[in-house]
Amino acid sequence: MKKMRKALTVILAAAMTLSLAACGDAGKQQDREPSESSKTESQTPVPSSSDAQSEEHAPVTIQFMHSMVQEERQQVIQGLIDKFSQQYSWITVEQAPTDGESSYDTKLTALAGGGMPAVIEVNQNRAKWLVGNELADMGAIREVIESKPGEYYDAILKINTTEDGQNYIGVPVGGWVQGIWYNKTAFAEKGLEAPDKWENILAAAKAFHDPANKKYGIALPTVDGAFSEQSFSQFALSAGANALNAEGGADFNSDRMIEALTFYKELYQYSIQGSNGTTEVKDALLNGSVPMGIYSTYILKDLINGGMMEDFGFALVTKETSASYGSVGMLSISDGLSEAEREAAVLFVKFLVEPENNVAWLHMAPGGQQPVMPAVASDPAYLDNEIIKGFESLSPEISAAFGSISLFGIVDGRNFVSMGNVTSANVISRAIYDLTVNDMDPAAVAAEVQKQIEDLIAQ
Amino acid sequence: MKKRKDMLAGFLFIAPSVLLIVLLIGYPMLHNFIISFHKVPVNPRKAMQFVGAGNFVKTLTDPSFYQALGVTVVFTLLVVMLSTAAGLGAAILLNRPFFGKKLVKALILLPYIVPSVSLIFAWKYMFNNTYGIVNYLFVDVLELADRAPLWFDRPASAFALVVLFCVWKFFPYAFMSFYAILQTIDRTLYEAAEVDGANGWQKFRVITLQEIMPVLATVVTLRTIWVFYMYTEIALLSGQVKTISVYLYENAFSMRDMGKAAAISILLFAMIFAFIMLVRKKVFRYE
Repeated sequence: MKKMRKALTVILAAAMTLSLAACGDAGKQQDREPSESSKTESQTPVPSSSDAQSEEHAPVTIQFMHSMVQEERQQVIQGLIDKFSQQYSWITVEQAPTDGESSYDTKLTALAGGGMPAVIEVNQNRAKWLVGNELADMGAIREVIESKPGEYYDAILKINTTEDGQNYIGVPVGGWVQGIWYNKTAFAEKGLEAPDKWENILAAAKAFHDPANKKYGIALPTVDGAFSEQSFSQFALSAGANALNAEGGADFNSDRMIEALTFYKELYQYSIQGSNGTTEVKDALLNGSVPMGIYSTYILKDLINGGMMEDFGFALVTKETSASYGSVGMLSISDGLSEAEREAAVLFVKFLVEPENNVAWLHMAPGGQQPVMPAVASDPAYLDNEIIKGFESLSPEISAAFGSISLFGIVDGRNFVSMGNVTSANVISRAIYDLTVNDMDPAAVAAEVQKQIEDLIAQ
Repeated sequence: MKKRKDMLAGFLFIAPSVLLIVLLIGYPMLHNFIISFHKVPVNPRKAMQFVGAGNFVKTLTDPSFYQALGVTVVFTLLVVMLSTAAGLGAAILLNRPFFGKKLVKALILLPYIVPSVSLIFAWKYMFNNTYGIVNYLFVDVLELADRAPLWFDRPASAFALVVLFCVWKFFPYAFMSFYAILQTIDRTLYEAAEVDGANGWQKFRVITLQEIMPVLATVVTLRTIWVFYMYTEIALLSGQVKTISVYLYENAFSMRDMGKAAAISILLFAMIFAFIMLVRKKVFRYE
């Protein structure tokens, strides 16, 4: 009995140890082995040059974090990865799709502590945050951009350059612009001018506002989230107000900023009330509750599918100057990679911005993501898409919006990366929510944000 | 000798579990404790800066911390009490045979098994200012107001709705626990009580409550811990309910002050641990 118990003890302990070890090995194996799709690729005959190249390289695996969580978009990206693997058979790229809203920032912050993916899809604010915290390999990013001399729009490079003008914050892959979408037919019926100048916007909002019949003058972003900062920045920048000054210090408490805040608050009186995010604004524009609203080019697909494209126009907020908000989708390469990973990341990003592959990327959200390279914009393969053909009539306005992109934190041509921290801390968006929904005083809001930006810059 | 060998075998058997607990719980807790005394740069290649008790002082002198704590305490009390009472009430009502019982049980469990995100968006649509069904009934049908109230934008109504949502979403957990234990209570106890002339309340107090006390203690303890740290439901429903988890999240991921966030989490752990110990010792003395 005693012997049996001993034997049983040893067997059980050994089994447990083995099972744990097996788990560990399985994990390692999983890490080492390429994904199912790339396994198929490695079995597929590849060009002989690739065979020769792969013989010279040790296998390397990199992660690609992106915000394309939709199944069909992941399939497109996997197709691009598979195509890349045919050319560079020693490189395995693993997708890490993450929801593009706040959870993206949360995950980025968590990963920043260790285990950053080699390639990360970011917008300019997140790119600035990565650069500001020395988490991006600016040498690798420059290497990719310099391999494509003169291929990007100037407006895109203006957003993409660091404040010293020497480096880039990411490799642009696409972009979208935001402005005022308005129902041209409804405006014509009331004899109103296009809602571009401040006074035209306000006059139209007043003319259409009829809350008793559930009709409102405008759908104005007020949510405690990035959308409000984007929307408000157009009013502030069109009046010559910026969140930072030419030295990179806080400049939110200026007279011009207070004037813009006051106007935004006045406009809110004629808007759908409450916290308006992207869902509320888009729904209101599409269901006819409002004749105008601030939204990005991502609405194009819905306008075309709803047969409303002919009715809608696009205007830029104008006072002293015209200002549109624009977001450039970029690819960042993480700092601190091994030499092999860095090389693989550079090759992969170069591959993604080749025109043919860039077209596939842009076609994931046709109309929403616009080309950042003239060669792609005029590429017949890019234009050969029903949605893109559907908004041809608006192409000049959208191009003009790209040329008018103005952003908080870009002052006299200097692109301050500290603005990335300000935006990600959400202080301006929260202020817009307080200003409108919580009826706060514009001067008090400006003073509070000024203090918060000063604190953030001091950090 | 035999005892020592048995002990050794026992240690061997529990070693994998202990190892996992040390790695998955012990190490993060220790690391959290260490960083709570540091200013932590986002970039791990930069050195942490020792700030002593600076993060704790910063937290304890921040009025927002106390506001968030106050909101959390009231929120936790309300959600735990109401969801437990609702769960117990439903379990007592259903602890008898009747036609359609399975369907009723399934309907009760529905909010608990549907993912929170789907329910939250459904609620937000219901309360939408322009096309929500609630405002349609409130303003257009019943004409109780001229304009749709900003349900999730006003702190008081947002708080009430978030409490209501959480009670509705989580009472099925209490229901399941109580329903299971109620079925184990010997029916003869109630029959004896009836013979002695006990009324419904007396039967509940003397028999039911005593029998379900271990489960009640567990449900209240677990639900208190879960609700105290609840984030997703609160943050997604409304930005106006500033509980301690929202405060912690904002410090960690908006302000990216990981040192302060770690200090907050340690303070919260101490508070909730002391509270649970106190409650179990003073209120649920069933053992």
